Amino acid sequence: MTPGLQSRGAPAGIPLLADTFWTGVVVLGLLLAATARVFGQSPTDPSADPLKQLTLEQLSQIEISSVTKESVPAFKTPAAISVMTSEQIQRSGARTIPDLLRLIPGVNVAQIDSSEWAVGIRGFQGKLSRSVLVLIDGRTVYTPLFAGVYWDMQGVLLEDIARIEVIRGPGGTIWGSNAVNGVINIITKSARDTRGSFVSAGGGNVDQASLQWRYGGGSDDTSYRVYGSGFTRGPMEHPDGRNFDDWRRGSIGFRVDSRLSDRDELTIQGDAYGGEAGQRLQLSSYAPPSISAVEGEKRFNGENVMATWHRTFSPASEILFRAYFDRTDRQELNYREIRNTFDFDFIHHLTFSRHDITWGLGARTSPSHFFETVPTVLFIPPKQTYNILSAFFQDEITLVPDKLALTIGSKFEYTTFSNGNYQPSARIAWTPTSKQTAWAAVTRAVRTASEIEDGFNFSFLAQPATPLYLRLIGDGQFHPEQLIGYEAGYRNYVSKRGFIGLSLFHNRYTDLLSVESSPIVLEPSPLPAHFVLPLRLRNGVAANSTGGELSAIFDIRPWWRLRGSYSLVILDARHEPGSNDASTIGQLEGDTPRHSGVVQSTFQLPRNFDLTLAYRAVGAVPDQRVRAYSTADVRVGWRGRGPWDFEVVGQNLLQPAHVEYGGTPGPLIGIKRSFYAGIKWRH
Amino acid sequence: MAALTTSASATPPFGQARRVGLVLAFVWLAASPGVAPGQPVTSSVPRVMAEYRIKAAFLLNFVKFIDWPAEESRSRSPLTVCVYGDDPFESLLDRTFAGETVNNRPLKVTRIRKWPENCDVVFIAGTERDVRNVLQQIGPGVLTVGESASFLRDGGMINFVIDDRRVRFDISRSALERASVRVSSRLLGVARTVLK
Repeated sequence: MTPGLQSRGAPAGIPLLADTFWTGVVVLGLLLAATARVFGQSPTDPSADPLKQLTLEQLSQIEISSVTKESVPAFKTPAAISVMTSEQIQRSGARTIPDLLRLIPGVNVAQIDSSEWAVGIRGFQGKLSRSVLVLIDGRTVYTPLFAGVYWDMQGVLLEDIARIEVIRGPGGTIWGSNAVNGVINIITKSARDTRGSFVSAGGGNVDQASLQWRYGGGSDDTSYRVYGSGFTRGPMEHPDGRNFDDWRRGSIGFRVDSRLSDRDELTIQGDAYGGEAGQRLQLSSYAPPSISAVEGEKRFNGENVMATWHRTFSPASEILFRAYFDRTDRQELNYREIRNTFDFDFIHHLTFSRHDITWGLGARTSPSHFFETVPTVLFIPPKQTYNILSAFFQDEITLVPDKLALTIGSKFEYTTFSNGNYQPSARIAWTPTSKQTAWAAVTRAVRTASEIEDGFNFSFLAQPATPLYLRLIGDGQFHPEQLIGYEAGYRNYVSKRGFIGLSLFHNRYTDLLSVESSPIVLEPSPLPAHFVLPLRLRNGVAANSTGGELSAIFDIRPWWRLRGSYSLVILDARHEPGSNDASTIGQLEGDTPRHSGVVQSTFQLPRNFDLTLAYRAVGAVPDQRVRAYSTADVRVGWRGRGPWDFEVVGQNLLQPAHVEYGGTPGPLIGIKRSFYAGIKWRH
Repeated sequence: MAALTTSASATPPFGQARRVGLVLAFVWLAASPGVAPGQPVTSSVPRVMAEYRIKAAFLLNFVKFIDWPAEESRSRSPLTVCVYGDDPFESLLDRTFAGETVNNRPLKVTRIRKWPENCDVVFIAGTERDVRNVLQQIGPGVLTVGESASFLRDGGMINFVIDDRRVRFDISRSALERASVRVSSRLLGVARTVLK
């Protein structure tokens, strides 16, 4: 459950209410007590490292902890976790992060157009996946405006990613808000591992031209890297010939990793990016023409800078401080939002006797300014500050050494739009032999309100003749969505060459977001007079989801690895008493494919060639009028003798184009068969 | 609890019960006798430890259990341990090796990306792609340590393996002999397997 301090996100923000004074005193006391104990120790002399005193025989007897990062792949972790390594990323041939996520069981990815994806975990797939938290090096990229992630803005160099960890299921205990259905954690490499020059260039029919450049240097004590990247992508397949969705993005950034002392590691990193992508929207107005389809460019840019300080007091105690600032400016055809986020996290990890404890505090404040672009899309008020204050505590208790461990914990969270949410979790892991683990968990998680539920006001012309407008209204009456999740899993190294894993879940959601209609009213202004059907954002829907993921890895030959996974999610939604919602149930049940499966085969071939074949089959998405499809990707890589690497990638090869999702007005957009050839140079 | 979570008014975020809970947690943390982070555990063997802390300690032992040639030219320079490619230890190696000497030679840790370099020990991480190729370039007198399944087959000398969630190592005697690296018999005795 806790794959390392560096990767953990503990978001938060402060509702500065009167009574927080005492809260603050207590929390500060807690913090001081812990730090005083830590600092009160005699200074840690490096030669006092207990391991150095041990004999070879004793060293051979120490068990590897599953807690610290880079230890054995989450084998004993009592959660449905998947880790994608840097090598897998390189070999996949994927050009974007959502394309990588397709390979991870339980993650539902559907491409909408060139620059947009609907991503969900265990259901709830949507353009803005409001129940999935996405972190890049601990920085949350989940926007509280519409509640979700803008995938078109996230510009990490795939080459710089050390690994991607995905935890399916309610990961709320540690990970922070909105991790109701899962967490996607993208962790980039230390600057120590990216020294030297790197240039990658390539192009194809969809990824028309892309250039990435990186230079890293420094000593072992202080290393740095700077990078620049840019691409231009062409449109997808449009039956009406309107190729509006081309996409361009450029980004630059840096990272410095510095060892301040034997115990202190400081990381400072930052990025700046900008881009634009074509989009098509239907805009309503009160003055005629009252509804029109428009095409144009959405534009975005942003900057972020983050500092992370990691101090190791002893093998049994380490702390991490992280602070970041993140600014985003996004302008779509019907709104513009500028947001500044300040975040501060503290995490302390300590082990003693049978306890392995992680606890932390987080605070975040995120003021945003919404600019009205069309009179039918409003946020009231247009300036809003979203705050979170959170604390978490988790204790992994060894009940029977080597065999049985119980993890209990809870997160406490206070946000601008909700008071006090506790999210407890209990997990048990049983490791009968070193080759297998069985685990089970019960978790309560909540998704708290975002600004959309607090102040969104969106009107849409439904009947031009009347004229009648539907109006979505977020008026602050929404309270958190709740989930009680039951999970179980089993992992088995069936032989030296094979691994199988099974995860099962049954989630019971209540108070899910619904739109509740009230009687039609006549609205005299703005002119001309018009009728409005108010649809208020409430908590009128409940749902159960049941399913699981089966995954397997087999090294058939030393040069041939086969991976496969099958994911199932069955969603059954219903009204809660008093709800008259007319659309949500169909969306919940029909927006995510029930079945999906991936098989990937990687071959290490003679003469430094490697080959990756991937086949995926994805079930129908009836609510989006999308049929089941299957397609395949191929990548051939060749590592030259010198500093040169070459690759040729074909994606979505089985048909000229296939539809994965709706999500835009007009005919469904086909995701094209694409080819890409690239060259990489390292020195 | 439902009342708390649904309330949209400015209810204090910590209710009375929570404050009591936090105070209890505070007392627990402050009073718990077991909490002694930072205290050296010299008397007993730690039960669990991060994988690379254990590997770092093993590497230090390997360096100590090698019969390094006593050439005058080298005996004054530091004994250099090189990490080839991605460094899974992060700062652990530096910390473990800080202040240590072997035959009066201080130990030094560096990261390298190509060969040749001036190294006495080369550690090749399991993430390295072309281990065989790297090993072929490394000349005699250099100890090679790895952590990949085929490391010994590829010509390496000592390979870390995870066995029953413990860090163990295998040794290739022939590779040691080919490179004229002499190791103590104690090292051979602790190895999980010694290949001829």
